[in-house]
Amino acid sequence: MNSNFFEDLELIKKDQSQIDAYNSQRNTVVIAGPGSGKTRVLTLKAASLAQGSIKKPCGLACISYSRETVREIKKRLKEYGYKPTSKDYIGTVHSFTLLHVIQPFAHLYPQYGVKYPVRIIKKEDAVKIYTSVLTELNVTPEQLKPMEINRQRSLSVVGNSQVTFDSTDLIENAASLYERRLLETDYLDFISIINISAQIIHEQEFVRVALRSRFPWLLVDEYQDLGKALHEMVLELVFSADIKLFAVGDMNQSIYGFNGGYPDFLMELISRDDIYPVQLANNYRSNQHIIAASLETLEPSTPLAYFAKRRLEENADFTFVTCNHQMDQQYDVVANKVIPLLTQNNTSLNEIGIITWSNTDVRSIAIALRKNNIPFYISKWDFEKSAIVTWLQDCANWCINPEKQSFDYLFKFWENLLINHDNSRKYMDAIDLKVDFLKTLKKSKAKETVLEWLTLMINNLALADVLEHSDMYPDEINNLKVLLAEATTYNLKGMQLERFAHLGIPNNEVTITTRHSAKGLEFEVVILLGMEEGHFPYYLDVKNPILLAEAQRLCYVCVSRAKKSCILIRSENFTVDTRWGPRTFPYGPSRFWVALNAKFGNENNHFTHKNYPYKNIP
Amino acid sequence: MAEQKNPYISNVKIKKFRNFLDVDVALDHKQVIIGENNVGKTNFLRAVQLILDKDFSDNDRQLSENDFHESLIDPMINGETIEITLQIKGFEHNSRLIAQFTDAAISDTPPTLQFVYKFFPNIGPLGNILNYKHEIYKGNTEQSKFTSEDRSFINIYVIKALRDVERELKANKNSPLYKLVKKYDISKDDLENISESMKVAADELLKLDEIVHIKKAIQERFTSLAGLQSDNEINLSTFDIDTERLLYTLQVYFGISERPVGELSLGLGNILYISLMLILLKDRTIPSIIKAEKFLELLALDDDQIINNFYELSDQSKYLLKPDIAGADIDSLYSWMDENNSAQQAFTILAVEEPEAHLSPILQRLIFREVLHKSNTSVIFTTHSTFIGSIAPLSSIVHVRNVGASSNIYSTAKLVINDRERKDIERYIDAKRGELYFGKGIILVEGITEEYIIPAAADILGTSLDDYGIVICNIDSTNFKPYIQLLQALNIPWHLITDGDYYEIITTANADGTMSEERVYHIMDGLTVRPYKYRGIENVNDVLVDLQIVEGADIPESQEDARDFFKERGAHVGKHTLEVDMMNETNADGINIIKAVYAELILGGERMQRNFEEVLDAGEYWSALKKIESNISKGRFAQRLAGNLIPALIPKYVEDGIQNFVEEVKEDYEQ
Repeated sequence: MNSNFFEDLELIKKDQSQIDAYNSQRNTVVIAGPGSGKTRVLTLKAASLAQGSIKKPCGLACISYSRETVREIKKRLKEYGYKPTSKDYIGTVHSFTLLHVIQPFAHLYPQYGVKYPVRIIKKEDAVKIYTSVLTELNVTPEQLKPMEINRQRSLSVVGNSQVTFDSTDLIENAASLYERRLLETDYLDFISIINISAQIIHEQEFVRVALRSRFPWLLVDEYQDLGKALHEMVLELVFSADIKLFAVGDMNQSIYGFNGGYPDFLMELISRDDIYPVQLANNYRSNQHIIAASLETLEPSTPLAYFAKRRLEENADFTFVTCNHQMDQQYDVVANKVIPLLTQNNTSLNEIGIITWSNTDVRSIAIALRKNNIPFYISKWDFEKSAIVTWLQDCANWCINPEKQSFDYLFKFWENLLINHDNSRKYMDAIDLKVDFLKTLKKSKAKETVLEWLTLMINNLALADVLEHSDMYPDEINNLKVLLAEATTYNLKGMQLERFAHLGIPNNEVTITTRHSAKGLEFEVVILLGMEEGHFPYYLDVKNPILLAEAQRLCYVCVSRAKKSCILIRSENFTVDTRWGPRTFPYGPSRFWVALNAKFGNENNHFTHKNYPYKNIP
Repeated sequence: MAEQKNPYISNVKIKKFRNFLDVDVALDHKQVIIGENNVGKTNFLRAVQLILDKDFSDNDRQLSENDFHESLIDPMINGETIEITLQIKGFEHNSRLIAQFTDAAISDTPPTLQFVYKFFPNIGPLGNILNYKHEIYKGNTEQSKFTSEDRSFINIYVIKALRDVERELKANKNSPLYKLVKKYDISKDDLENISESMKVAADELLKLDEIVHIKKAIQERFTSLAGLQSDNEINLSTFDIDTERLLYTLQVYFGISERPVGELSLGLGNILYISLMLILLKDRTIPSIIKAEKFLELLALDDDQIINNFYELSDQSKYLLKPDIAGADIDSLYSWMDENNSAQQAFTILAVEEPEAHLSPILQRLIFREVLHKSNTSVIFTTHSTFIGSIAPLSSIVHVRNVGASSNIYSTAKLVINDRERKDIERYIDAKRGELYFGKGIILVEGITEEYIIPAAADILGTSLDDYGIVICNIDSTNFKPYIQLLQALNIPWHLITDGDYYEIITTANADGTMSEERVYHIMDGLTVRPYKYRGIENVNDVLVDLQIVEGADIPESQEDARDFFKERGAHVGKHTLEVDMMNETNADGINIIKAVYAELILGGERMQRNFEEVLDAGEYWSALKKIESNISKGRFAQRLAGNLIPALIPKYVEDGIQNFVEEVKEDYEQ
């Protein structure tokens, strides 16, 4: 522990709930709203446990949903001077179950049908299974979406939880059929890995005891995103195996229902008597109006009052912009008027976030911004930030500043990659491999653009050769192709290496993101596009209370990204292709727009795309 | 043959470890660490070993309370940290070292690696100390740990002071000779052939009638004792040597009579051991012998026809490196081999504790001159042998000294002295057998007279220089500057005692109206009213200002004040020259002694003696000195005079010089 740790500890001592959570030695669940400092509390807790009561050969288990959060936790632990030991696990829930349940234990229990080596199914093979399910059940892809099957599979884990969801016979049949088909192959997918793990933990006491001996504490971040299988695992591990729990989550930020992540699990957890719930009600990000506005979108089910702790003197400012026709006008007004006006008023580009619906929208707004020479950065990419891509980013980081990134770490990953993929180079002397790897990295330093750099790295290391027929990363070659395409034609085209190395950090650029990828970000000003009823919430979701509630939470997440102001934009008419040719339909404002307007709207904050008050001062 | 020099430790910083509170010392490729016993020479090596020694266990690296500097009170309760930092240079010619230590690089001009050992308190979440841990990092940041893998690329091997060389040379697998043989990777077939023919030859023994008879006798006796036991036939056999054991049988023998190592003196055994180690530690990136098939493999990679030029085929179809390859060629061959011939090369820095043990001074000098000047391995010696110190390159001295409660380390690695002066000093140190390095304090003097008179004077004053470890250093000139630089670099206290060389200035007007000045030396002072000066003071002035020991502006104008000013700073300047000052300042007793000594030493008759006494009585001391020089020699006179010295014969500046310096060195002791 170093001075950073103790400084942050002093900081949380000023907030009674934060320090309560930190000090709690019971099973603790922290309900933490946006901007409540939850990551700090969690990391302090992790560091303090790892350094204090957890002794080798036990280790710290710290699990989160996204790689990005994992990276953030690791980074903070490093800042606190804690160096994870080989016994610690800090990572995503997927690799946790793979590394600590499936690999060490599944071979003891052949009844679960896990085949070794563990192979992850390729996307194309998954599509084949899906098609065969459709054929067998005699339904069309419109009647049965892959997402529905997967959600059902995620929810199908049997355990102690009382939470249930309604489903149709068709979906239930399809899910169990899919499961059977998958078992017949040599492959697993991420859902089955987690489901089987949950089942093993539920049924096998030996595994529970082993895990308890290995990990006395389980720390979980983003609990609301983790789905039923993890929830079952937690219930087993905590209430029958006696592992101590420290979980952090926010029901209202549960937006991954399509993955089987629902707020109900977190609700069930905190309703238990043997859980110590702590609510972090202070918001250190936004002003009180933004907090009120974000809560407004959740009506009528507002669970908590949040209190602004900063920006007390500020009033939020809301702007409502109405366009006439199509999304194009929305893109135009953002690029030509909204952002220029913000710049004129000295808002830095870093502090502007544009939140939109789909990847297509992201691309279109990017084109509009480029036309106006507004630098931007996209926090949602077509390629996945896979382990390989993350490693390539780290390599890029080393090229830019070797002080910030250990070469040995990069090499270790590369060496393991070759060993795990049985590549012929694994027989080389480690030192010769290292010499070659360093040569490639040094050569790559001379490359300026992302494309040149990636091409050199991928070719010189013969990455495609390594990853061909990969059990571990079956889709990685494709993913790299997507990445290269991004660097050749799309948003990484002509970009400096720095941009790739720091994908997560805008550099005096406007951020463009989708609603689902907005979580964890924060901006002074948030611009919300596509605020029409039928688009947001989606017209099909409106009829389903579960989906509607999730849409509300999604809007809550979007609005709560703002520290100070919120600009909502909608169009009144959309032309769509119908079977009678293109037709134009009128669209009303989204219910969220209506609610926010009722509370914050006035005659001064409504504009159209034509009269938006931006004057070009030459 | 020119060779690439192996990497070496270029800098060591030690904080709070054993004798060392906070030291920072620059080192060179060859390093001689000198200092008295118990001053911490061994601890200095231990500090390096904590990071680099492969034979240290984790337990050895985990220090304890006793390892903290003794000035620290309850160090492990107060959360003190021991920190040792090594920097390594001279690795950049080897691509494997560059790759292995990418994270360790802290500079590229010149390329420098850094390793940091820390023994530190593990602070718990409540701010309390949980325990103490040790960790070793590479580079400036603590991202990358230094592990045993790193140690297989760069390490240190310490040969301890007292050891059983004979046993180690015979220690089969651990014998350096065996390890050396193994490095050559001799083919198994060759060994099997030899083993086979040895067996065949030995079997001849079994055919001797005597042996056949013995076998039969044993067989009979055994059968009668063992009764009906079946399978009881007795066989005799010589040996069945396996190829591995064949290599163990290699032994070193000395001389024509082939004396085994056990019969050697311990000293020679030591030399043998160190020589074997040095050969063992050579950089083998360029192999001396390549087997035929390997050579063909390499040839296939060799587009530029590099290796063909440097190897020749032997009778046994192996390729041998040609001798006498020029330096530039070696460089290109090295980088080619580095690129193409993958053989892991460990770079070992050799440290030898007290190599002088059991060696005669002459052998010490011979052997270590060889090691220090010719080997490509980086070597560190610790020694208190003046003989080793005396032949060490001037830039390779590290001096460990007690300063107050801790030891401090000083080195000459960064000394800036011009080549001519460097050679002068090296020659001086060599001739004087390195005594300069081992003094507690050094009095620098300019001639033979001082060298005899000053120790004798100190004895008479009751402060024998030997008692304080003070050494007189006669540099036979007045160029004190490089010596002072050296002593300052090593932080050895020094004073200097030098002649005043009084002169007067005669100014005359030239025909063209200009004035010219002439200096008159070798005259007594105060006889004229001409302006006068002391060349000795001018010299001291120049040296001390040059070395920034004093500020030019601080030096007083008047000659007498300047003399006092320099006296305060350790430079004692007389008036004329030592003999003249003695004659000039002494009383009648003193003069009589001088006369008596003169009388004892001259070979001439009474007339010569009378002449000498006349000038002496007339106060013409310069003439008297001239007579001593021409009839006896200054050295012989001083030598004899020293034995007859009385207090009245000691000039004031000499007495002051001795007493001040003794006082200073004494304080140093007491600290």
